[in-house]
Amino acid sequence: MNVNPMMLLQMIKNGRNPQQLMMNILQQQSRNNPILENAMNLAGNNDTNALEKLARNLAEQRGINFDEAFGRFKKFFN
Amino acid sequence: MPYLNNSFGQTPTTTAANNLNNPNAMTGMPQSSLGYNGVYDPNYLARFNQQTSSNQFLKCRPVSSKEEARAAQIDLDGSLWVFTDVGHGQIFTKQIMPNGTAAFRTYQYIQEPETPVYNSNDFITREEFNKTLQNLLAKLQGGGDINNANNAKNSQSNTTLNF
Repeated sequence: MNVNPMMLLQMIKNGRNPQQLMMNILQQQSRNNPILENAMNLAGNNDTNALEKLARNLAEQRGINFDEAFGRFKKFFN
Repeated sequence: MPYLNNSFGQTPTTTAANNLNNPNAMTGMPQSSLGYNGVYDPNYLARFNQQTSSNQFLKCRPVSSKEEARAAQIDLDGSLWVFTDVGHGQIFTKQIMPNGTAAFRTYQYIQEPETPVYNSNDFITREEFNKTLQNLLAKLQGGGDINNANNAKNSQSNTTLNF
């Protein structure tokens, strides 16, 4: 990802919504990435099942156990 | 480290500050072949190639077998990976589809049969063919005359009709 951190900080400092900011950045990035674009659309439509399936497929491509990895991810927030 | 010791002799802070004032800094497009001080930058082309390669759609790599191509890990950005297996005369493509699954395709080299080269002198016209055929038929009938051969042919056809 080609994100300028200084610009990001400047925008947050100027009172921009960080969530919206990140969504805008991801949308910019997704122009060249059909998979990310699809994921963004699924997230926008709250289609969590399709999003999970996408994540499972991608994890399988990398030989990652999705359930295990997702479990670790959830532990990170607890 | 290239980031700390860049070609412009600037500290990272100054570069970042310049990028803040530059709306195109986020797009990854090189500004111009001139450096920030208006001096020609000899690394411009290398920098440009480096930046454009990240947006490449086609990526290629030689492999030695189909299994190797299948097992190869490819980028998850939807770009098409082409694996060439020259030894087996095959090309494989692998691409991550928008739903996250990988599409794997195999292309096989087929040697097309060579088209024969004909010499125009080897051919005869239909007229010549018919004439030769008539002569041949006449000889077979024993008459040796074309007209006789025609009569014989007609009588034969009539006989056939009588059946």
